[in-house]
Amino acid sequence: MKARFGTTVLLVLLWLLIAAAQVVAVDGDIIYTYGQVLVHRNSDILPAEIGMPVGEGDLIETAGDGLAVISLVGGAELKLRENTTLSLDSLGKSVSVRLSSGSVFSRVNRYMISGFSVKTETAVMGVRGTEFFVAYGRKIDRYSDVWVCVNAGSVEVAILDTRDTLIVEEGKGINIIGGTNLTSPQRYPWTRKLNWNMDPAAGAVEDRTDLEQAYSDLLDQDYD
Amino acid sequence: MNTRVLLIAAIVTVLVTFGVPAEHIPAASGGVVEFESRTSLLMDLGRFDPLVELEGRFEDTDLEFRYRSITAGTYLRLLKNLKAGAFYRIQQGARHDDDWIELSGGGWEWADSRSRTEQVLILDVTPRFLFAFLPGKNWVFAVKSRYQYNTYNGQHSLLVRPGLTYFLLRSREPVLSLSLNYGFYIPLNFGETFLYEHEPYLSLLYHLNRNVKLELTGAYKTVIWSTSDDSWANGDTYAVPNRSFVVGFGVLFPVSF
Repeated sequence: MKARFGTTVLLVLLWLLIAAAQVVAVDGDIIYTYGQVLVHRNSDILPAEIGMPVGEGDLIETAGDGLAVISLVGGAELKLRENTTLSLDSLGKSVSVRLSSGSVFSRVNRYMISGFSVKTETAVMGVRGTEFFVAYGRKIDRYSDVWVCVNAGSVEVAILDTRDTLIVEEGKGINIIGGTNLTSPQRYPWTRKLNWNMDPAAGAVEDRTDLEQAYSDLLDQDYD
Repeated sequence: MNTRVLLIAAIVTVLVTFGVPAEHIPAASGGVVEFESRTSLLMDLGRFDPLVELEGRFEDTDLEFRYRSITAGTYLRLLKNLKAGAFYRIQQGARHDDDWIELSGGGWEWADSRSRTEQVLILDVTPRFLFAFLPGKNWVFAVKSRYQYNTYNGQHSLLVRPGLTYFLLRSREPVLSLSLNYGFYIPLNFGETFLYEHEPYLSLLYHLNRNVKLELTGAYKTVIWSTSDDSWANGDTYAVPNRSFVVGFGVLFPVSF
């Protein structure tokens, strides 16, 4: 009788542990925030704080004055700029995040993560070890342009509809025109001003690069 | 209005209308083809856009390499739609009204100004506006306004050049731009006409890449020569139009830092 009772208690405790783990599957932490940052978890909307755990399924949203740096257990760091919405679709040995709006810097430790990808509505950027930046640009066509800039390593860009792929090497960037047309990777002067730092202790992490610079300013085309 | 001005106006009207040729008055011409070329280094330092430009012209019927200049200075973007600039130019071979001279042995001709060095100070204000409501959307309307002061003869002048440019974009980058302008050159303290030069000006710019642009221009230039000092002394007055087609080639090197 005692043995059956003990087994039942153990099973209940085990079930409680599993349930608790499912409530907050901790896969990373918010290590820096600035301005308004919200975490959407299930049906809750929580204000982000430094040290707050985040997990698979969470959606992080920064306001116009917001910035957040997230450290994932697997060995990746993400820096969300202002007006950004990013969901943590899949975390673990392989990480997949979805960028719905705005822009995100990614730094991936290739020895700790076997796969890492950033998805947009039309494309997926996959890497094994690199530092890169993905941002939505102007919406001129049906879908927004997507800018990809690589600071270290390389990134494979794949268009979901056409399955076209392209490798973007270190120091170069591309604009995915209308989210679907790949352009030739090249060195864009404006990307030199991107702030890749994600460590608040090492200096400012805010990135104030005006993404409008990525486009030719017709009012600045002055040749005489 | 005094009698002298009325007299000048009457003579000018007669000469311009009937093109009366006279040895002591510069001959009016029309249809001469001339060539000009320029090469520019255009730097982008954020709000400041310094430039250095070399320019040369092959002029007159014999296509003599007469005018040559080097210009240096910078634009400053004051507002999104407004740039101001200040430039310094050294030039040789420029022709002015008073270069129509009487030779000591008789006869008249244009003085050879190729070895005469002049310095020009230039202030530029250029507002630009996107005319996205036009078909094709990538249109820019600009009014280039330039004040020029020539230290050699103390002449002040003003250039007002409205223009409309269409940019053909590929992958969000300009590959070709076509610009139609009309330049009005207004003398502020010399000459006897409201304009001393005016020209419709067409420019085609091929954006080879971010750092090399190739330019082809065409203008139908009208210069109005007013009475020179020697002619005044000789008792003559005139305002003679000189018209020419000017074809230009340019290579531009924009550099972004």
